[in-house]
Amino acid sequence: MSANAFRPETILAADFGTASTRVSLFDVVEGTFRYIASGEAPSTVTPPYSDASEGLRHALQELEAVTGRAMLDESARLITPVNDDGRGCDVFVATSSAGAPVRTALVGLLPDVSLKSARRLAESSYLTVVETISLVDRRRMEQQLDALVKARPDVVILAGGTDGGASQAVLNLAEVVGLACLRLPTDPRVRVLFAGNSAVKDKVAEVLGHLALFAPSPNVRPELGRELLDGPRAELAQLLNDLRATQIGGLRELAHYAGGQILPTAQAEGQLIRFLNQTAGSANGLLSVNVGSASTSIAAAFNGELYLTVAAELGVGVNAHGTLADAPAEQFTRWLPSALSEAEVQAFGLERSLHPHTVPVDADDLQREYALARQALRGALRRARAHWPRSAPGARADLLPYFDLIIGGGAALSHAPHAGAAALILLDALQPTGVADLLLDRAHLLAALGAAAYANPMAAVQVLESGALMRLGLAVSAVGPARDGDTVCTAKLVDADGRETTAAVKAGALEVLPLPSGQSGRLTLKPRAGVDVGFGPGRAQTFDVANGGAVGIVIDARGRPLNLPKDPAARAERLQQWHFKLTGV
Amino acid sequence: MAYIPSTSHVTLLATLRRERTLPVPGEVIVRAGQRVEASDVVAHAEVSTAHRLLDFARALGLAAEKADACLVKQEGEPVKKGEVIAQKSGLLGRRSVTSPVDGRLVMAHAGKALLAATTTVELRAGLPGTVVNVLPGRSILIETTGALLDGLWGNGREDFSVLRLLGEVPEAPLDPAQLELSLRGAILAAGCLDSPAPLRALAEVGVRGLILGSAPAELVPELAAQTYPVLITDRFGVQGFSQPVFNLLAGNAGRELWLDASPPNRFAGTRPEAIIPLPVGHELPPPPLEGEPLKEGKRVRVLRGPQAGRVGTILGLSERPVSLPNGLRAPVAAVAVDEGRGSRQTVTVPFANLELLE
Repeated sequence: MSANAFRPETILAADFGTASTRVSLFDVVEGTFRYIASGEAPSTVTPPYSDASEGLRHALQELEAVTGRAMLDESARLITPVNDDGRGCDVFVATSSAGAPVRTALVGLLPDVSLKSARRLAESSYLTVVETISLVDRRRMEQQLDALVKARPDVVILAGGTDGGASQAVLNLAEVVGLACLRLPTDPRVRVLFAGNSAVKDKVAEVLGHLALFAPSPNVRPELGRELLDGPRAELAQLLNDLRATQIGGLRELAHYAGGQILPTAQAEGQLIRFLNQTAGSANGLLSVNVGSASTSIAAAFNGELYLTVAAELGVGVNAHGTLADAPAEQFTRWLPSALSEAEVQAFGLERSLHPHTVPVDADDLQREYALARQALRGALRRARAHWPRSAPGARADLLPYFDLIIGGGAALSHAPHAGAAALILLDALQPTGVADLLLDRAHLLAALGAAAYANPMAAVQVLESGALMRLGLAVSAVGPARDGDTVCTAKLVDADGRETTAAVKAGALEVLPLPSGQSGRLTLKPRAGVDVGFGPGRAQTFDVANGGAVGIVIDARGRPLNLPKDPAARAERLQQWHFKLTGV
Repeated sequence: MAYIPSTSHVTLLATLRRERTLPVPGEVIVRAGQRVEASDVVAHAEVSTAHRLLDFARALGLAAEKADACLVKQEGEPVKKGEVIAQKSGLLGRRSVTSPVDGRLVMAHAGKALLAATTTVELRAGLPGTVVNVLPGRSILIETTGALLDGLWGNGREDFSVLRLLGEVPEAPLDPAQLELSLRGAILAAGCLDSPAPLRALAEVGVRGLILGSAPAELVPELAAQTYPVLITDRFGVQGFSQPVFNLLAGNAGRELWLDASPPNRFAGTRPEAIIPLPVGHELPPPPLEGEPLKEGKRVRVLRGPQAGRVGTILGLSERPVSLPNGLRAPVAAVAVDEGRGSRQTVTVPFANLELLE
């Protein structure tokens, strides 16, 4: 790039969620990209508005109220690049998780090969799988056709055959899909993503090109033992972009401003997580979770590989009922300090889904909201872990692998009145092991930065380094045999001023060593024999903690997996103790 | 910036337009300007129920590329079960292939035929009114005047019949003893359902619809399974109707009502509703208000928290977010909620937990 090449300095990012539309402004301050401010407004992607730009306009008004910088001209058009008055932005990037569930059919050759990869591809975006067809399907061809027609998919992902491998079987499946397209509604026409044997791409296009909106993609399984999701994911994002543009007004024009594409929110977050993992150079992974109104996404990166999972049916608002239906009611109520009958749980889930914008007004209601967030995270994590590599380092195969960094996001976490409450939700739901930095994406910046990284990768790095995400602290989670009352680990923290804090953490307890944000310290951990705090069973370690957090250093000795007392009174007492430890209330 | 909450209509009189759409393209048989009654068939379409693939080349003993010439039916042509769709003549006589279904020959190519078994669906007007627009082959728009009641939940069915209100007060539970045979064919309204017991009696009586102020969430699966439309207007639980809803139903008892208990779909912008057609003079009333901002004097329903389900009037709005008892911060409204018998209590409710009643 030449020295005179355009380097955008002001980046405006917008994220269109099912419940909220958010905008974030980044600009260069003293030579470094910084997060400036955000604006938020209820989304207008659904009727009676059905136009994303209305919610964007409201969010920009809020941003303008904070910054004094207008982003729209008198005709409500985005000002770009920045004009002489300092109004507008140089680059506009956009992400979206909004819209009705995308009904998706998966068609592939073998369930454990191409279909598995197609499913992973589908589960990395906001798709709901409604039908699956493979070679081992025992139904007759006409029954498969009936099933596809009945499922009324918006999207079909057709996979199968390694590059240069099976071709006739793929064409046979394409024929079934073609017949289904012939019988499916033509307004809108079904979209078919072909992510199979690239050698037959043209022949498949011949079969489907005039019956469906055909989108060829790189093969998800170019070789039997090799899965490639990046290329297909990019094609799928474009396909979804086109689909959403037909469903939600204003998106097409906004995509034009955003360089032609509005990225799926989870994908933008995932890109950033992978980038951070690649630059970190650690053997341990990096994890980001986002609990939204309609969906919950999990982005994990190990050795520079991204494992992205979107649980499109698990959320704390629109899909609250889906979250509660995902597990027995007691999985939800166990997190509540006071009893709730099964009927009350059902009513809560239904009303929460029907009124997703509402907010809890008392402490009990807030705990229900948090329990819902835990439940959505647990369900999404269960789905995500099925795809993670077994080689990821960790204390035990059945537990969460080691993550150096865990970032929490989504309204339920970011709106928590106390940082400790957000930290507790992450610890309870994810149950990390070893030592992990906990960060909170309070201003919903991850997706914005992931999208901005396409325009300017340094912007994302510099903004993160400037402390735009809220540091909750360091979580040290002990794994190993211990009975209630046993001291699981002793911890000593010496801060930069030489002040010493110690704790003897007993089994079943959470302890906090205060270390505010911006302060460093030296931490010594001495676990009991057989207990692993991230360095091997019984192994002590002393290391520097570069930065504290709003909560501090949390030593979690509650055990993994976390078992709550069965007795309701004892459980309520424990929950209250843990909440008090982390929040002081 | 003004806050625009969702709107729930409890509207005594408005001009209403409702689209009626075929599930698949078909034929609209009414024209713009035509007056229709609720039971009038306004459009129909052929819906495929199953598909059959026939290898007629093999059945005729022909190579695939030669078989298509033996078709005696054209693509798109209707076929009857047993009707010949392809045949060939030879020295040993005729060989033919017949349709295994009543339906349509969808396509035939290279010796194979795709047949669809079909059935005809009829689209009824649903509610009486005037057809004001026709989208040929797909839908019509009907205009009527009357009362509109938005619901919270519906079981996906619809019907049109006479409204009968059971119970003297909004919270009165549905009592099986009230279910006389004279209610056969009516759409019943009752404050709440406190047990599943009345459901069997309702089926025995043969009602054509049920409107409930509230019903416990655990009864939702049973209500969803009823063969008549079921609409819940206010909340899940046993609180009954809110006063405005009860008043609207009580004021229209004995009139005909269209109950459209479609499940709420935020992405389609639809929710279950009841419409009571009412005659007006020459001047049409305005359409129902939608997208109004929250402001003093507006009637609202509380959606969440200890006051959930209560109805009141906005007294004032905070300019900035304030701390709630649980530590969350949100802009709030002071609402005078109705306590009954004219008394009121002032409560503080986040904007997000209010919906406008229009």
